[in-house]
Amino acid sequence: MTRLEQTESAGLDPGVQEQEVLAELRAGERQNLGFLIDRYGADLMSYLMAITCKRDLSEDVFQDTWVRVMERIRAFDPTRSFSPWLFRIARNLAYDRLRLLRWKSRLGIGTADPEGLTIDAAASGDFRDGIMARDLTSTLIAGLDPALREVIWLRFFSEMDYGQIAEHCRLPLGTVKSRLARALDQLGRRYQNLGGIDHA
Amino acid sequence: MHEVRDACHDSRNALLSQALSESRDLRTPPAIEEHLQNCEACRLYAAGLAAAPSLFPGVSQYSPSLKVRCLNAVAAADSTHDIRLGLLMAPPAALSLLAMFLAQVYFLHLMLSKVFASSPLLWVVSFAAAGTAGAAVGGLCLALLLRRHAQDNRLREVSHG
Repeated sequence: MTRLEQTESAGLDPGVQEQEVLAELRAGERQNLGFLIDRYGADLMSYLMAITCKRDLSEDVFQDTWVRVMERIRAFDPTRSFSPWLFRIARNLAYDRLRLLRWKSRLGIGTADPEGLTIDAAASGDFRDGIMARDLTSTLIAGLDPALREVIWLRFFSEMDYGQIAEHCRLPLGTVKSRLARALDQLGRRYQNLGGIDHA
Repeated sequence: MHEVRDACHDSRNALLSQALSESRDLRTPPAIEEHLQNCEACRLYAAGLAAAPSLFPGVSQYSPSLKVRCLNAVAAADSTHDIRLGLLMAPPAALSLLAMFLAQVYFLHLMLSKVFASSPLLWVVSFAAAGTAGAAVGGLCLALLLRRHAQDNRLREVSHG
Protein backbone atom coordinates (compact mmCIF):
# COMPACT_ATOMS: atom_id res chain seq x y z
CA MET A 1 0.00 0.00 0.00
CA THR A 2 1.49 3.36 -1.02
CA ARG A 3 1.59 6.30 1.37
CA LEU A 4 -1.18 7.96 -0.64
CA GLU A 5 -3.42 4.94 -0.33
CA GLN A 6 -2.71 4.88 3.40
CA THR A 7 -3.69 8.53 3.79
CA GLU A 8 -6.78 7.99 1.63
CA SER A 9 -7.85 5.08 3.78
CA ALA A 10 -7.20 7.21 6.86
CA GLY A 11 -9.66 9.74 5.37
CA LEU A 12 -7.28 12.71 5.20
CA ASP A 13 -8.08 16.02 3.55
CA PRO A 14 -7.31 16.03 -0.25
CA GLY A 15 -5.36 19.25 0.30
CA VAL A 16 -3.08 17.45 2.75
CA GLN A 17 -2.73 14.55 0.30
CA GLU A 18 -1.86 17.05 -2.42
CA GLN A 19 0.93 18.53 -0.30
CA GLU A 20 2.28 15.04 0.34
CA VAL A 21 2.16 14.11 -3.34
CA LEU A 22 3.88 17.36 -4.30
CA ALA A 23 6.62 16.68 -1.77
CA GLU A 24 7.02 13.17 -3.24
CA LEU A 25 7.18 14.54 -6.77
CA ARG A 26 9.80 17.06 -5.75
CA ALA A 27 11.78 14.19 -4.25
CA GLY A 28 11.59 12.32 -7.57
CA GLU A 29 8.90 9.79 -6.61
CA ARG A 30 6.30 9.84 -9.35
CA GLN A 31 4.01 6.95 -8.54
CA ASN A 32 1.21 9.23 -7.20
CA LEU A 33 1.17 11.72 -10.06
CA GLY A 34 -2.17 10.20 -11.09
CA PHE A 35 -3.75 11.64 -7.94
CA LEU A 36 -2.96 15.19 -9.08
CA ILE A 37 -4.09 14.49 -12.63
CA ASP A 38 -7.41 13.17 -11.30
CA ARG A 39 -7.80 16.09 -8.90
CA TYR A 40 -7.34 18.81 -11.51
CA GLY A 41 -8.22 16.89 -14.68
CA ALA A 42 -11.84 18.01 -15.12
CA ASP A 43 -11.20 21.70 -14.43
CA LEU A 44 -8.03 21.79 -16.47
CA MET A 45 -9.69 20.18 -19.49
CA SER A 46 -12.65 22.54 -19.22
CA TYR A 47 -10.25 25.50 -19.09
CA LEU A 48 -8.29 24.28 -22.10
CA MET A 49 -11.51 23.63 -24.01
CA ALA A 50 -12.53 27.21 -23.27
CA ILE A 51 -9.29 28.53 -24.76
CA THR A 52 -8.86 26.18 -27.71
CA CYS A 53 -12.44 25.01 -28.37
CA LYS A 54 -10.93 21.77 -29.73
CA ARG A 55 -11.02 18.52 -27.86
CA ASP A 56 -7.99 16.93 -29.53
CA LEU A 57 -5.95 20.10 -29.18
CA SER A 58 -6.99 20.45 -25.54
CA GLU A 59 -5.96 16.86 -24.85
CA ASP A 60 -2.55 17.45 -26.43
CA VAL A 61 -2.01 20.58 -24.35
CA PHE A 62 -3.30 18.76 -21.25
CA GLN A 63 -0.69 16.06 -21.78
CA ASP A 64 2.09 18.59 -22.45
CA THR A 65 1.08 20.45 -19.30
CA TRP A 66 1.73 17.43 -17.07
CA VAL A 67 5.02 16.68 -18.81
CA ARG A 68 6.05 20.31 -18.23
CA VAL A 69 4.87 20.12 -14.61
CA MET A 70 7.15 17.15 -14.02
CA GLU A 71 10.06 18.90 -15.73
CA ARG A 72 9.63 22.01 -13.60
CA ILE A 73 8.38 20.54 -10.33
CA ARG A 74 11.60 21.42 -8.51
CA ALA A 75 11.07 25.07 -9.44
CA PHE A 76 7.61 25.04 -7.81
CA ASP A 77 7.44 26.92 -4.52
CA PRO A 78 5.71 24.52 -2.07
CA THR A 79 4.56 27.41 0.15
CA ARG A 80 2.28 28.55 -2.69
CA SER A 81 -0.88 27.00 -4.08
CA PHE A 82 -0.39 24.43 -6.81
CA SER A 83 -3.42 25.14 -9.00
CA PRO A 84 -2.47 28.69 -10.18
CA TRP A 85 0.96 27.38 -11.15
CA LEU A 86 -0.58 24.43 -13.00
CA PHE A 87 -3.15 26.56 -14.83
CA ARG A 88 -0.49 29.12 -15.77
CA ILE A 89 1.62 26.40 -17.39
CA ALA A 90 -1.44 25.12 -19.24
CA ARG A 91 -2.38 28.64 -20.35
CA ASN A 92 1.09 29.35 -21.73
CA LEU A 93 1.20 26.05 -23.59
CA ALA A 94 -2.30 26.54 -25.00
CA TYR A 95 -1.50 30.02 -26.34
CA ASP A 96 1.84 28.80 -27.71
CA ARG A 97 -0.01 26.02 -29.56
CA LEU A 98 -2.66 28.42 -30.90
CA ARG A 99 0.06 30.81 -32.04
CA LEU A 100 1.80 27.96 -33.84
CA LEU A 101 -1.45 26.91 -35.51
CA ARG A 102 -2.10 30.49 -36.58
CA TRP A 103 1.34 30.66 -38.20
CA LYS A 104 0.83 27.31 -39.88
CA SER A 105 -2.52 28.51 -41.15
CA ARG A 106 -0.94 31.69 -42.54
CA LEU A 107 1.75 29.66 -44.25
CA GLY A 108 -0.92 27.36 -45.67
CA ILE A 109 0.06 24.25 -43.76
CA GLY A 110 -1.98 22.37 -41.19
CA THR A 111 -5.48 23.17 -39.98
CA ALA A 112 -7.57 25.89 -41.54
CA ASP A 113 -9.37 26.46 -38.25
CA PRO A 114 -6.76 27.73 -35.81
CA GLU A 115 -9.15 29.78 -33.69
CA GLY A 116 -11.52 26.91 -33.15
CA LEU A 117 -14.55 28.02 -35.10
CA THR A 118 -16.26 24.80 -34.17
CA ILE A 119 -16.55 23.62 -30.61
CA ASP A 120 -16.64 20.03 -29.46
CA ALA A 121 -19.16 20.08 -26.65
CA ALA A 122 -19.76 17.00 -24.53
CA ALA A 123 -22.94 15.12 -25.24
CA SER A 124 -25.65 15.64 -22.65
CA GLY A 125 -28.25 13.13 -21.48
CA ASP A 126 -30.96 14.09 -23.91
CA PHE A 127 -29.50 13.69 -27.38
CA ARG A 128 -31.70 16.21 -29.18
CA ASP A 129 -31.33 18.84 -26.47
CA GLY A 130 -27.62 18.12 -26.48
CA ILE A 131 -27.32 18.72 -30.20
CA MET A 132 -29.36 21.92 -30.02
CA ALA A 133 -27.39 23.20 -27.03
CA ARG A 134 -24.15 22.30 -28.74
CA ASP A 135 -25.13 24.12 -31.92
CA LEU A 136 -26.18 27.18 -29.97
CA THR A 137 -23.02 27.14 -27.90
CA SER A 138 -20.76 26.66 -30.90
CA THR A 139 -22.53 29.42 -32.80
CA LEU A 140 -22.22 31.79 -29.86
CA ILE A 141 -18.59 30.98 -29.19
CA ALA A 142 -17.51 30.64 -32.81
CA GLY A 143 -15.20 33.40 -33.83
CA LEU A 144 -14.75 34.76 -30.31
CA ASP A 145 -11.10 35.42 -29.62
CA PRO A 146 -9.52 32.74 -27.35
CA ALA A 147 -8.62 35.46 -24.83
CA LEU A 148 -12.28 36.50 -24.65
CA ARG A 149 -13.44 32.90 -24.22
CA GLU A 150 -10.86 32.46 -21.50
CA VAL A 151 -11.98 35.49 -19.55
CA ILE A 152 -15.63 34.34 -19.73
CA TRP A 153 -14.58 30.93 -18.41
CA LEU A 154 -12.56 32.43 -15.57
CA ARG A 155 -15.38 34.79 -14.54
CA PHE A 156 -18.45 32.63 -14.94
CA PHE A 157 -17.30 29.01 -14.87
CA SER A 158 -14.42 29.26 -12.43
CA GLU A 159 -16.18 32.14 -10.60
CA MET A 160 -13.00 34.16 -10.07
CA ASP A 161 -13.27 37.80 -9.14
CA TYR A 162 -11.58 40.46 -11.23
CA GLY A 163 -8.52 40.59 -9.00
CA GLN A 164 -7.98 36.86 -9.32
CA ILE A 165 -8.44 36.97 -13.10
CA ALA A 166 -5.94 39.84 -13.34
CA GLU A 167 -3.43 37.88 -11.27
CA HIS A 168 -4.03 34.70 -13.26
CA CYS A 169 -3.66 36.36 -16.67
CA ARG A 170 -1.05 38.86 -15.42
CA LEU A 171 -3.08 41.72 -16.80
CA PRO A 172 -4.08 45.08 -15.33
CA LEU A 173 -7.51 45.09 -13.67
CA GLY A 174 -8.83 47.58 -16.20
CA THR A 175 -7.82 45.36 -19.10
CA VAL A 176 -9.63 42.42 -17.53
CA LYS A 177 -12.82 44.45 -17.14
CA SER A 178 -12.69 45.83 -20.66
CA ARG A 179 -11.93 42.39 -22.07
CA LEU A 180 -14.89 40.86 -20.26
CA ALA A 181 -17.13 43.73 -21.36
CA ARG A 182 -16.04 43.17 -24.96
CA ALA A 183 -16.65 39.43 -24.65
CA LEU A 184 -20.14 39.89 -23.22
CA ASP A 185 -21.04 42.56 -25.75
CA GLN A 186 -20.01 40.25 -28.60
CA LEU A 187 -22.04 37.44 -27.05
CA GLY A 188 -25.10 39.64 -26.79
CA ARG A 189 -24.80 40.74 -30.40
CA ARG A 190 -24.31 37.18 -31.60
CA TYR A 191 -27.38 36.01 -29.73
CA GLN A 192 -29.36 38.84 -31.20
CA ASN A 193 -28.15 37.98 -34.71
CA LEU A 194 -29.19 34.37 -34.13
CA GLY A 195 -32.69 35.72 -33.62
CA GLY A 196 -32.44 37.23 -37.10
CA ILE A 197 -32.40 40.81 -35.87
CA ASP A 198 -29.68 43.17 -36.97
CA HIS A 199 -29.30 46.03 -34.61
CA ALA A 200 -25.99 47.84 -34.12
CA MET B 1 -31.11 47.25 -40.30
CA HIS B 2 -32.32 50.11 -38.23
CA GLU B 3 -30.30 52.56 -36.20
CA VAL B 4 -29.55 52.05 -32.58
CA ARG B 5 -31.77 54.28 -30.60
CA ASP B 6 -30.61 56.07 -27.47
CA ALA B 7 -32.92 53.93 -25.36
CA CYS B 8 -31.35 50.75 -26.78
CA HIS B 9 -27.87 52.14 -26.22
CA ASP B 10 -28.67 53.05 -22.62
CA SER B 11 -30.34 49.75 -21.85
CA ARG B 12 -27.46 47.76 -23.32
CA ASN B 13 -24.97 49.72 -21.28
CA ALA B 14 -27.04 49.09 -18.17
CA LEU B 15 -27.34 45.36 -18.95
CA LEU B 16 -23.62 45.11 -19.58
CA SER B 17 -22.81 46.92 -16.34
CA GLN B 18 -25.13 44.58 -14.51
CA ALA B 19 -23.47 41.52 -16.06
CA LEU B 20 -20.04 42.87 -15.18
CA SER B 21 -21.03 43.75 -11.64
CA GLU B 22 -19.49 41.55 -8.97
CA SER B 23 -22.43 42.13 -6.66
CA ARG B 24 -24.54 39.67 -8.66
CA ASP B 25 -27.61 41.84 -8.24
CA LEU B 26 -30.12 40.25 -10.63
CA ARG B 27 -32.77 42.97 -10.40
CA THR B 28 -33.14 44.87 -13.66
CA PRO B 29 -34.12 48.55 -13.28
CA PRO B 30 -37.83 49.15 -14.18
CA ALA B 31 -36.97 51.51 -17.04
CA ILE B 32 -34.81 48.81 -18.65
CA GLU B 33 -37.49 46.16 -18.07
CA GLU B 34 -39.98 48.36 -19.83
CA HIS B 35 -37.61 48.89 -22.75
CA LEU B 36 -36.92 45.15 -23.02
CA GLN B 37 -40.65 44.43 -23.26
CA ASN B 38 -40.89 46.66 -26.31
CA CYS B 39 -37.56 45.90 -28.04
CA GLU B 40 -36.93 42.38 -29.28
CA ALA B 41 -33.32 43.09 -30.30
CA CYS B 42 -32.38 44.22 -26.80
CA ARG B 43 -34.31 41.29 -25.33
CA LEU B 44 -32.14 38.91 -27.39
CA TYR B 45 -29.04 40.88 -26.45
CA ALA B 46 -29.94 40.45 -22.77
CA ALA B 47 -30.50 36.72 -23.34
CA GLY B 48 -27.03 36.50 -24.88
CA LEU B 49 -25.48 38.10 -21.81
CA ALA B 50 -27.45 35.76 -19.57
CA ALA B 51 -26.17 32.74 -21.54
CA ALA B 52 -22.52 33.48 -20.65
CA PRO B 53 -22.36 31.28 -17.52
CA SER B 54 -23.75 28.26 -19.39
CA LEU B 55 -21.52 28.50 -22.45
CA PHE B 56 -19.08 25.86 -21.35
CA PRO B 57 -20.24 22.27 -20.94
CA GLY B 58 -20.72 21.19 -17.35
CA VAL B 59 -20.00 17.61 -18.38
CA SER B 60 -16.39 16.72 -17.73
CA GLN B 61 -14.17 16.32 -20.79
CA TYR B 62 -11.62 14.53 -18.66
CA SER B 63 -11.41 10.75 -18.88
CA PRO B 64 -9.28 8.02 -17.26
CA SER B 65 -7.75 7.23 -20.67
CA LEU B 66 -6.41 10.78 -20.79
CA LYS B 67 -4.80 10.22 -17.42
CA VAL B 68 -3.10 7.04 -18.69
CA ARG B 69 -1.94 8.94 -21.75
CA CYS B 70 -0.41 11.65 -19.54
CA LEU B 71 1.32 9.15 -17.27
CA ASN B 72 2.81 7.41 -20.32
CA ALA B 73 3.95 10.74 -21.75
CA VAL B 74 5.62 11.68 -18.46
CA ALA B 75 7.38 8.28 -18.35
CA ALA B 76 8.49 8.66 -21.97
CA ALA B 77 9.77 12.18 -21.27
CA ASP B 78 11.72 10.75 -18.32
CA SER B 79 13.44 8.18 -20.50
CA THR B 80 14.21 10.85 -23.11
CA HIS B 81 15.73 12.91 -20.31
CA ASP B 82 17.82 9.89 -19.25
CA ILE B 83 19.05 9.42 -22.83
CA ARG B 84 20.00 13.11 -23.04
CA LEU B 85 21.86 12.83 -19.74
CA GLY B 86 23.56 9.67 -20.98
CA LEU B 87 24.72 11.39 -24.14
CA LEU B 88 26.09 14.25 -22.07
CA MET B 89 28.01 11.86 -19.83
CA ALA B 90 29.35 9.72 -22.68
CA PRO B 91 32.53 11.74 -23.61
CA PRO B 92 33.94 12.03 -20.04
CA ALA B 93 33.07 8.38 -19.39
CA ALA B 94 34.90 7.29 -22.57
CA LEU B 95 37.94 9.41 -21.60
CA SER B 96 38.13 7.93 -18.11
CA LEU B 97 37.78 4.38 -19.53
CA LEU B 98 40.63 5.08 -21.94
CA ALA B 99 42.81 6.46 -19.11
CA MET B 100 42.09 3.37 -16.98
CA PHE B 101 42.90 1.08 -19.89
CA LEU B 102 46.20 2.82 -20.63
CA ALA B 103 47.13 2.73 -16.91
CA GLN B 104 46.37 -1.01 -16.86
CA VAL B 105 48.57 -1.59 -19.92
CA TYR B 106 51.41 0.47 -18.39
CA PHE B 107 51.36 -1.29 -14.99
CA LEU B 108 51.03 -4.73 -16.59
CA HIS B 109 54.03 -3.96 -18.79
CA LEU B 110 55.93 -2.77 -15.69
CA MET B 111 55.19 -6.07 -13.86
CA LEU B 112 56.06 -8.25 -16.87
CA SER B 113 59.31 -6.35 -17.53
CA LYS B 114 60.48 -7.28 -14.00
CA VAL B 115 60.07 -11.00 -14.84
CA PHE B 116 60.98 -11.04 -18.54
CA ALA B 117 63.55 -9.13 -20.48
CA SER B 118 62.13 -5.85 -21.71
CA SER B 119 61.07 -6.06 -25.36
CA PRO B 120 58.39 -4.49 -27.64
CA LEU B 121 56.56 -7.83 -27.50
CA LEU B 122 55.81 -7.19 -23.80
CA TRP B 123 53.82 -4.07 -24.78
CA VAL B 124 51.75 -6.16 -27.21
CA VAL B 125 51.11 -8.83 -24.56
CA SER B 126 50.18 -6.18 -21.95
CA PHE B 127 47.87 -4.48 -24.43
CA ALA B 128 46.20 -7.78 -25.38
CA ALA B 129 45.77 -8.90 -21.75
CA ALA B 130 44.32 -5.58 -20.60
CA GLY B 131 42.10 -5.46 -23.69
CA THR B 132 40.74 -8.98 -23.07
CA ALA B 133 40.01 -8.22 -19.40
CA GLY B 134 38.33 -4.93 -20.37
CA ALA B 135 36.23 -6.62 -23.05
CA ALA B 136 35.12 -9.31 -20.57
CA VAL B 137 34.04 -6.75 -17.94
CA GLY B 138 32.44 -4.51 -20.57
CA GLY B 139 30.55 -7.45 -22.09
CA LEU B 140 29.23 -8.45 -18.67
CA CYS B 141 28.01 -4.90 -17.99
CA LEU B 142 26.35 -4.72 -21.42
CA ALA B 143 24.60 -8.05 -20.83
CA LEU B 144 23.27 -6.79 -17.49
CA LEU B 145 22.05 -3.53 -19.10
CA LEU B 146 20.31 -5.42 -21.92
CA ARG B 147 18.63 -7.70 -19.39
CA ARG B 148 17.43 -4.65 -17.42
CA HIS B 149 16.15 -3.01 -20.61
CA ALA B 150 14.20 -6.15 -21.53
CA GLN B 151 12.65 -6.22 -18.04
CA ASP B 152 11.64 -2.55 -18.33
CA ASN B 153 10.04 -3.21 -21.71
CA ARG B 154 8.06 -6.11 -20.29
CA LEU B 155 6.87 -3.94 -17.38
CA ARG B 156 5.87 -1.15 -19.79
CA GLU B 157 3.90 -3.59 -21.93
CA VAL B 158 2.08 -4.87 -18.84
CA SER B 159 1.24 -1.33 -17.64
CA HIS B 160 0.00 -0.32 -21.11
CA GLY B 161 -1.87 -3.54 -21.69
